[in-house]
Amino acid sequence: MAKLEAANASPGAAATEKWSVRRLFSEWRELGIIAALIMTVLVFTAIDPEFLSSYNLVNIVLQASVTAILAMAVTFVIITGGIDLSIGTALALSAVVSGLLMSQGYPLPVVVLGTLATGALAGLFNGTIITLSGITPFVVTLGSMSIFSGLALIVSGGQTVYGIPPEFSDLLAGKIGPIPTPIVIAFVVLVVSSVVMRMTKLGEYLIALGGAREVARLAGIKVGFYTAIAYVISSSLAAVGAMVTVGRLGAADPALGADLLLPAIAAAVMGGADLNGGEGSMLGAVIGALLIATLQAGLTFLNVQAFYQQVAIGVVIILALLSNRLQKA
Amino acid sequence: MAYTNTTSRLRVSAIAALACGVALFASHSFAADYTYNSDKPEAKQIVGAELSKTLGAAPKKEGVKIGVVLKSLTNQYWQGIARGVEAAAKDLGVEVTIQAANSEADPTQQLTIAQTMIGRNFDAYVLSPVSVSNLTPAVRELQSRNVPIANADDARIAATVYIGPNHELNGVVAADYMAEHLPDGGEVAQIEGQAGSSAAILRIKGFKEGIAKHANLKLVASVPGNWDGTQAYNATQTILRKNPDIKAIYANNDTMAVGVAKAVTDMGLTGKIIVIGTDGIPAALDGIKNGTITATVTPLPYYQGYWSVESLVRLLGGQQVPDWIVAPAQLITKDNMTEFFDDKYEVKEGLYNK
Repeated sequence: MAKLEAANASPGAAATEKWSVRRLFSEWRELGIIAALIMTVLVFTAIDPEFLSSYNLVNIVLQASVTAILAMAVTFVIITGGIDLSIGTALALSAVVSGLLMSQGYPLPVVVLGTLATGALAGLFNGTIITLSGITPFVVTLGSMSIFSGLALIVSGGQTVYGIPPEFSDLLAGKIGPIPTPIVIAFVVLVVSSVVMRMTKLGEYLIALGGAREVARLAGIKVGFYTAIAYVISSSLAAVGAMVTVGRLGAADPALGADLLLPAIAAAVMGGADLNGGEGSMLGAVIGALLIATLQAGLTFLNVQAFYQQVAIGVVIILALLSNRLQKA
Repeated sequence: MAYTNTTSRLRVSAIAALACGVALFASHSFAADYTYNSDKPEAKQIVGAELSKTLGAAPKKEGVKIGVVLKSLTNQYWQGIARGVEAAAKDLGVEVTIQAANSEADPTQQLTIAQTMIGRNFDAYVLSPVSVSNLTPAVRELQSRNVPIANADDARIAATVYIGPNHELNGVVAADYMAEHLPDGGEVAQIEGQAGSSAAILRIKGFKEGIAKHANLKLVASVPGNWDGTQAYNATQTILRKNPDIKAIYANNDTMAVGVAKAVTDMGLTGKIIVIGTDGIPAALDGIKNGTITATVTPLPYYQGYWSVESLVRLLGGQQVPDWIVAPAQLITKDNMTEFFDDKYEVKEGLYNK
């Protein structure tokens, strides 16, 4: 990150200063959302002390896990200056495939590989079209959102896939020691994603694509290839989320995931991803997902009906982004 | 009051004594161990209206709080259940909190709500799952906490008590009505619900067996309509062209019955063919009122909600409640509609016990 932003900045002494200010801001952003999360928890706890029970806290993290995985998925794409509107339906498509594989009695490795391959292919489709056609990612993934949704319905015959063997549910949605498996999976994704972004060439290139595409091209980075990689990662992570979801619900519904797209993007952006590209934080995305899950749980605690919850969550997302913007200005 | 208490206790101990091994084990601890067998085939049944007659008055208990998670409140059927829940809460002096997903097609959101509601530590829960499996993690958690669960209406889960219709009986009631109104017999048809859905499987079975009881009735067509009005409309046109002598059609739900009625009307056969649906949704009641639909068979959702809360209050008060509280299949026709429904097609209160 440092190297790239230094390259972006104006030459001379100002470069170092700008670098440190920007860096401070990006740190601030995560701190900002962490503070928002803590405050939200405190407010709900003040209203109902039961909110702070260990069951409820674990439950919130559990509810956030799939959103968090998707938020990290979309962060990979947003960092490159793109967007992936198809992650929700890519999740549905992978879910149906994994549901069919599970219910037909295939062993775990086949299920995992088959599901991940489905996700990867979906991402490869997005990445290839975006790279080759030059159409904006928004439009391409809007189209593929519909394509994947249709494919999910076709593959499943329009029916929810039942008959998931309980072993899969226990494995994917059970507990590892005292911790629910989905939380462990989300945590692993967080660690791996953070390492990729911070310590590998791939991460560096992805940021470079979003920060300054032309500079990246001139520097010899294979722009098309790495753009496509971002979409492959995004959809593959959606496939990971799909397996967790199927495990939890014990069924694969072709209509899954439609309601996950907005929270995932919101979490990513609240967590510091810049829709213009070049910036984003995996940890921030996860905390964004936690904030949304906390709000949902808190409003359910206050007995606010689901219809009103949608409004409340939308308002909070806008407020969070507004405060981000004010901080930046 | 004291008298009722004693009799109910006597009854409880009588039932306990019958279940010998279990009773021995249970007598060692005062905390009630709730069972979760309501989805087993051998679930013990009782008709909802018989609860008070069999078990006596519901026990009074201070400060009972019940959490209710329904499918969705966007549909009049589910609003009916919610009304019943609230009415029972008022009558029995308990507090209920009702939450539901935004749509009947959102299994994940319903699970999220259910798991969060568990965090609020209600004394008991009413659950109406979107599917047979989506609330499984929440149900397991409640089982491990020994919290009683009432499973209302459709998808059956391993709860303490199931409150819902006997779907098979719905089909039988429809068949019997046809036999009664077709004394000379004749050909009949069925439009089936979604293949694989348990409600559809049982209604189909009930109707076929019901028809088989009457020698002069002949089921000439039983075709899928997948709970869908348009598919039912098309299927009806096809089978009526192939079998012009059909005298009666049973649709596994009301949405399809509305489609059947439309096809019958469009073919100029209104009044010549008996059309029966299931559920009692307003569109079907409207059809019954204006004569395009003959009858519908409904478990009256209001009472399912009412009995859900009532059975939980009884369980929390230490009474033994059978595994399955059957919501009777009521056949609604033009003649008896006002007995069961008001002008807005809301189920009337107090039909069974007041």
